[in-house]
Amino acid sequence: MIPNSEIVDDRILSLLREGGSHAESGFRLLMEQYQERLYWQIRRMVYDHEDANDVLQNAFIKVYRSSHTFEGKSKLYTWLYRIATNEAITFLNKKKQRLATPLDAGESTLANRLRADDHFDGDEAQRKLMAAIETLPDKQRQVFNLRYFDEMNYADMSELLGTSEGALKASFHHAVKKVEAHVTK
Amino acid sequence: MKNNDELRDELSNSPFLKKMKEQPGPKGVNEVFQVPKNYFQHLPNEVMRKVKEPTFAPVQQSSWLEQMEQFVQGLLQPRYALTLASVVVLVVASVVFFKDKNATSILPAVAEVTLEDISDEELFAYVSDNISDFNRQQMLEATGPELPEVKIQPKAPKLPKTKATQPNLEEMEKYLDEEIDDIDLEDLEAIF
Repeated sequence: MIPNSEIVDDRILSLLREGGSHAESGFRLLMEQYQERLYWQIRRMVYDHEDANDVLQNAFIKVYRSSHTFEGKSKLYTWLYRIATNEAITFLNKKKQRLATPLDAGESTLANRLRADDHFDGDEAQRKLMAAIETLPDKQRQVFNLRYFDEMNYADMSELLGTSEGALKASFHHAVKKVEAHVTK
Repeated sequence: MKNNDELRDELSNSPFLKKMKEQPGPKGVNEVFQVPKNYFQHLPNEVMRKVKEPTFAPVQQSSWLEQMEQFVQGLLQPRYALTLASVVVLVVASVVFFKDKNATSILPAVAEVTLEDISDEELFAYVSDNISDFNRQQMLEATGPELPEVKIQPKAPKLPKTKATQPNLEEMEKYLDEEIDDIDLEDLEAIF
């Protein structure tokens, strides 16, 4: 977690509530504070940089338009993460419909995409890892990404996803087994 | 640190994931995706520019034509295409079924032709051909009160025609002389 994040959150929310130019300053501070975390969370879902950029910008625009509805019952990042994740899921669903990609072609499609992606700097093992992660169900993939890449603890993840810590541990355990089996088969 | 140790324990039975996680340098799992240079420095300005537009459109907002295209493409997916095909077959079958039903129901309507639609010649020909099927009462009812009532006089029985139009008196006398003995007096009185 980012140090003093709660202090920064309070400052952001205070500026947003003041409105006018203060709100704009608050929104800029919010983006600077969370853009990288949100970007990587989205990027691991959609893989492509251009797609991640579109999804993140749409998510920030929604945040700006609905910032007055944030009641402060959860952490600011939890609220932002949910908006960004929903935006990414909506984007992926539309993309699946548009491309009408057969479900069993997911791995080869992603592997090919990553080979052609100038912004992907991984080797073959990392391509296999990404392709294996994509075979996970959406919720399980979210848990795997948050735990494996972000190294988020289960307490924060529980608040973020609204799921019990026990269920999250079990979900990550199953995801690890599936990914390992997929890359070693 | 405690969190890292916990994660390492959780990956103890997964050598591939553990190795990838511990891979040092720029090829670590968090660095496989690259970002364009200065992307995060420009992003806030880019978002603020879109937010300030009077009627800013969300990024990649598709037009109605694109949305329609996406909808059609979605329908062509196997699961939707099968459903759509079934619906089309049902609709076509029901149209054909009801069309046939309507066609049969038209027949009685065609038969319901008024007498005004039939010419006098056709009527006369029909009645002539089927005169044996009509009785007198039916004919009177059909004609109605429009025709004047005609009294039918019983006709005298026709006599057989003979070649001799003028009676021969000599033959008549001879016939009477021969038959006179067979005629009773009472019969003669009844005649005259």
